[in-house]
Amino acid sequence: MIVSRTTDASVLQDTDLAGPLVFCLALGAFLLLSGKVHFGYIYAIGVMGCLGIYALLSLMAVSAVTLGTMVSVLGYCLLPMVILSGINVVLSLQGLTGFVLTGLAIAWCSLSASKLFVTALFMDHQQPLVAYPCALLYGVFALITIF
Amino acid sequence: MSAPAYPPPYNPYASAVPGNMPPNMNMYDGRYVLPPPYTASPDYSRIHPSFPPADQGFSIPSQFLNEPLVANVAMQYGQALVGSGKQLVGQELEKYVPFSRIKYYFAVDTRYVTKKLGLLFFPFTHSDWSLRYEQDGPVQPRYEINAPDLYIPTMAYVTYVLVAGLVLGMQDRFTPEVLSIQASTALAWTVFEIIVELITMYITNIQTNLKTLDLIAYGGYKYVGIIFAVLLSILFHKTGYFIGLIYCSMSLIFFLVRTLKVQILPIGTSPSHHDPYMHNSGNKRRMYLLLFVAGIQPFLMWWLSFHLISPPVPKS
Repeated sequence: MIVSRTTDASVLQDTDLAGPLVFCLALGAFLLLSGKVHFGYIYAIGVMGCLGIYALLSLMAVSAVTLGTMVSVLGYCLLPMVILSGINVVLSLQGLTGFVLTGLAIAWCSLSASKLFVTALFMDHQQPLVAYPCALLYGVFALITIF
Repeated sequence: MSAPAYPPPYNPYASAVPGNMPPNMNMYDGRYVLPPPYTASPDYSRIHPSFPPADQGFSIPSQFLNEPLVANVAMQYGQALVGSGKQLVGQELEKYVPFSRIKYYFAVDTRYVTKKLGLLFFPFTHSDWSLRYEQDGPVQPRYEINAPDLYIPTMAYVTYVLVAGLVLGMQDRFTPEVLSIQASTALAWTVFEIIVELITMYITNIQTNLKTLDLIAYGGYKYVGIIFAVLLSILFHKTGYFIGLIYCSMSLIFFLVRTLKVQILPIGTSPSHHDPYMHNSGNKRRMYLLLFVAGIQPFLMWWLSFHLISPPVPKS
């Protein structure tokens, strides 16, 4: 998950849904610790976001996109968001440092997700275009975490 | 399989296709001898173990599918069926949501998006607004800066909903329901605007090259301006909001007028059909349509965002 220099397409051959599920549950647990019971929202936003990005990528990419790959990539890249919600338990994120940390977390999530997508789907010159919707999706998670 | 050698030994009731067992022992076959009477029909199950008992009737037993040749044929047929089934479903779906047409609008790359955003904010120095065409349609947005796309409008719409959530959160007015309220309101207004434009084009009987998806694209560009104005309002409150709104309205009107002029008003060297009956028909109507489409944008931009700005509250 560390933003590595080189990723190859074979990383996406095995779709693994257990990891993303663990991350979602961890996110919900951390939010619970901060006093917000938002499991339903996480699930709903996760599902809608995955479907939306799946639709967008299948329209934009030349090669075929499978939903399983999508969900596993997006779920794994949720890790920085989980870390952010863990920080939120001890510190409040509504100040300036909170915004900076949130921005960094969103950027980390979306850059790694878009890098994986672009490598696997052979899209040329479209990485920022893929990174932006991922950033929006993780931004929604951040909104729920902060407010 | 302890069967006799494949193909089975000569059987007067065998079908013409080698390797296949005749489906019904009692079927009359004129080329050979008459079938024996029913009660005296021999039991061929002793000759070939997978052969059905004589009085089974016309049924394909499960042992049939164990034979490798039949299994292969069945698999291939099944796969062909699945493939054609998928194709059929795709075709049916294509009638309601034209996926291949929509794919055209998403064929963008980073260069196009940055240039288009620059154009939306500062269209005053762009000189060539014409669209290049291929055999059956306009060139993909990737290669033609003036072509409409659906990536920017979609992203701008989603960003608008999120920025609205952010701004309301900063004013302590945020609940997750607010996100869905904003999203559905904005969507409803956009759909309404496009329906009004379509009805206007239908009633005034103006023939253009504009398709519905083009109209959706042009209607979605205003969200970029709304986002800019709302973001300005975070820093400068009401003054910032109005300055941003006015500037974005002006540039959007300029952009739309220049772009749609190419597509709505007839030009002498238009690459589309050179129909002499269509030229110079309803020029005034076309101009009114153009002004209507462009002029409605500022009002909608204001309507969709004025409830998001915060009054200047003294910091406590």
